[in-house]
Amino acid sequence: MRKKIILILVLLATTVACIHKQSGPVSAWERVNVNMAALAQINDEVATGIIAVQQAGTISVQQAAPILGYQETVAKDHIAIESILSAGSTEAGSKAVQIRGLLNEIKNQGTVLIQSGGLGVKNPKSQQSFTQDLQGIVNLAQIVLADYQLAEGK
Amino acid sequence: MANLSAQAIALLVEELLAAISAVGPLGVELYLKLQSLLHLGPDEQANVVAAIKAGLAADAETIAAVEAWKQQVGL
Repeated sequence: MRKKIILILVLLATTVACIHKQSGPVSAWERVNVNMAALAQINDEVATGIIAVQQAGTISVQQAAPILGYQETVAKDHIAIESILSAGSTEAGSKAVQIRGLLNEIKNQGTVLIQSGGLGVKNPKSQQSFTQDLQGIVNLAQIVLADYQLAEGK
Repeated sequence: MANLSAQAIALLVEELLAAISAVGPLGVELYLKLQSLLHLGPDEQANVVAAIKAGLAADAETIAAVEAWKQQVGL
């Protein structure tokens, strides 16, 4: 089971990072935005999973609060990034430092949360631990950062 | 990865679906959401707009769920 979960994470990250389309190559700009959307959707799945286990009594409110605080931070940071990205690549280029800062915040806060421990509880929605769920978000933030640097270099 | 043939990509997607199916319904749901994003059309701008819209919808759901939970538990 553990191997399958690892396989899923690897395949998911690989597939998300290797987006394709029916005609022509996928631009770096498309890659950034699609991977950002995937990050937001996975974040949403994790948040609803944590709420479900807290309401089921598996974890306490005190345990759930910092994790959900992080999910909310990710969502708000993502909205802030999208508000810049939606203005177009020129605007995004002039606010590169801000975008990288928000992505790093998602990555770094997620890493700190994972390292704080106590997140080995299984998410009934993803059937893996919250540590693994959060690691997936951190990994995606790293992928988006790399995508964004490629888009900037274009 | 960019040099994969359409057949190889299809095989990869099938393997992904099989692996995620083993996890359960949520895995399938997540896969389908991602798959809808992976099949991009020819128009770059339309793809970007669709991705932004999908991401913002997920953010709104996340924030609403967390805020509702906070109220419920008195935080």
